[in-house]
Amino acid sequence: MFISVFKRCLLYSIFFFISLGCTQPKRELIVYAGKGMIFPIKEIVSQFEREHKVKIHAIYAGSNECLEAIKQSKKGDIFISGYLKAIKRANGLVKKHYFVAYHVPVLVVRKDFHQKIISFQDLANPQTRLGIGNPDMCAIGDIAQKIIKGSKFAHQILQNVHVKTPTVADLLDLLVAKDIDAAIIWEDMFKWPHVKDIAMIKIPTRLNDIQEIHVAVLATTTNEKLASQFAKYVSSKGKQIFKKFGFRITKN
Amino acid sequence: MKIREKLISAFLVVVLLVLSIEFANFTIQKRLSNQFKKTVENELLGTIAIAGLKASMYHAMFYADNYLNSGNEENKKGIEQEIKEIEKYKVLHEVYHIYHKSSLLGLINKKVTNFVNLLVQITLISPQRLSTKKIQSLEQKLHKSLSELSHIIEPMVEEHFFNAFKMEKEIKREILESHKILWEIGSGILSLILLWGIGISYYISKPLVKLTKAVERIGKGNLDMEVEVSSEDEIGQLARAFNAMVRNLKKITVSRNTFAKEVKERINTEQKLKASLREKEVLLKEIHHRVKNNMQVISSLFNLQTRYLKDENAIQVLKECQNRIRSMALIHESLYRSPNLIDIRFSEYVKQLANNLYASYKVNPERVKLFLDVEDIPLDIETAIPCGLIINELISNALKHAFPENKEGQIRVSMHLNPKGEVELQISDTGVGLPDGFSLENTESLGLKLVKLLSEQIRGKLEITKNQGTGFKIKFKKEHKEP
Repeated sequence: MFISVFKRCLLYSIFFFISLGCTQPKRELIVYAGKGMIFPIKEIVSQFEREHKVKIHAIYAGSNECLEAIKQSKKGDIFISGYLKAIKRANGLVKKHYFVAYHVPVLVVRKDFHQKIISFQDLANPQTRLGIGNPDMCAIGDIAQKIIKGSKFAHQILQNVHVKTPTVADLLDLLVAKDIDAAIIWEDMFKWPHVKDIAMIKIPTRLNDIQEIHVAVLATTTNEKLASQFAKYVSSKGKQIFKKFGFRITKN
Repeated sequence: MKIREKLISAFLVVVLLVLSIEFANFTIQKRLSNQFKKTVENELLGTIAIAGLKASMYHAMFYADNYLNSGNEENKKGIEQEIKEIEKYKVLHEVYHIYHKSSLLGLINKKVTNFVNLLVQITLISPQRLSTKKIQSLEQKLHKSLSELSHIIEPMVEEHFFNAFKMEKEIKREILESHKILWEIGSGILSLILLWGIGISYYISKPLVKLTKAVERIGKGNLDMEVEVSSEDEIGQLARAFNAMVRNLKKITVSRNTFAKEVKERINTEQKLKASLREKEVLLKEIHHRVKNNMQVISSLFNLQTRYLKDENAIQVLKECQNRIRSMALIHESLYRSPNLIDIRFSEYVKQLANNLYASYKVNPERVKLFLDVEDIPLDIETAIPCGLIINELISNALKHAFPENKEGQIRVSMHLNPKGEVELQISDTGVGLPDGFSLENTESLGLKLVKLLSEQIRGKLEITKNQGTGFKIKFKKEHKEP
């Protein structure tokens, strides 16, 4: 009797000590996302948090800024970027990535300026105040620069660039505030709530550079299982949410 | 479970417990130190981020001031560069403050965004086209924004340092606490191990003590006991074997006592038998002695009787009878003198018998020489008496008839065992020999008739030779009875 009780106590104590050594990974994720995807990501995050009883800290910034922060802090689980080049540049920091949707660059102009700018070439007009993203900080900046350089009037257009904003969201703010006349932003942003008095002009296909949005699991993750779960969630259920916010989930 | 298995499992449990304590200690230390490292790192790196943010904002303001006052494009580039730095530090600060969970994070982000927007707006304008008032207004906005941010950031930096210091103290306290808890748990487990060890040693030694006591009791001769051990280990097996041994020992002891009693009885019986045998031997000797004496008395009576007889034939008959009785008396004498009361030393007997006959018939041994070649063949009384009588008759016959008129000659008596195991008795003389036409079947001589009858009695084969005297050869099988 004494021996069996003692044996049981002994087993429990061993299990107790062993369980002390087994660390439960945190049910928390840090997600970096390009600011251009803030609305669908917010909804996906809140939906995932609700469904999986987890806490997600989302940081919205320019893709390059996100990448810089990941490199410096060595922290974070997920990186969602509308710029595949940024994910590829992350190289050793990305474990795996999944396609989510397409990011289509468009030209937007103030409605009261729409008569002067009706096509891409009109950006070369010296009176046009063009805003683009900072190529070192956000994806749209790099892409816009590339699109402009592809145009016959690249030189004139570049001379009209009045501002290079840190994020694409800033471009929209400036346009709405009429601080600039035109900007190259993402097509889906046209559906943002505070958008008013602006018109969209499609960039000619030969010049345009449609981007893929990818969700990547970072090598710095502390809970790979949960991070993978979230990444798969974004690339499956998340697609419809992206679609709802004006993103294309098919190329055409 | 065997003792070796018990000891090995006990050893393994102890090792496991010690390893568990060590593992727990290591894990707790590691976790605390990781937590410490992470917290301090977060706090310090957060501080660096916010300090970097603050520095970038001041730099940006410097460039903005210059740009607004000079309109120099280089300053504009400086503003753009600093905006990039501000954005970088803002994101970094946000990352580190996710762990810190600062309530001011949202406010700082908002203020930084406003500040950056202001900077962007400044880069959009051409200062040359702006009035001094407008420039001053922008400068004031910029300064105000930065001042507000500084007011939030300054205490935050201090808070970061304070938090780092506080956290370090907390972690150190937790490490000490965990040491204390581990020490208490370890002491408790060691005490349990000690108690368990005592229990195990008692558990193992108890049956051994029982066995030792049992062996001591058995050593003192107490076989009516059993050791009570219920365990299935080697000690249990030993105890069961020991009990079986005690039971067998008990049985053997009982058998030994019975056997000893039986041996004693047999020795007594043997002693009685020996005594009885000695008694009988004495009795038998006495009988032989008395028979010999009686025969000698008879012989003496015949001798006395002859003195009153005048008839030579009667005297002769009595003398012959006397010699026959003496030959038988000699046998009895030899018997009671023989060590086993059965065998007769025949060479001695024949010599004595012949001497008596020479004396009886008053024959000079120089005239009729006697040659004896008698082997000492042991013969029992049933054979010895007829043999003695045969020798008596034949020597008597030779002395009486073979050498008339004081004729000289020889008498030979020999007795040997032939290779077939038969006794060959020969009595021969060099006398006148048997008369012509002599036949043993038709003879009138009592002596020779007796010789024939006695030969048949011992199942002997009698042969007579008539070459230079007379010779008798009797072959018979020796029927010697074992004593």
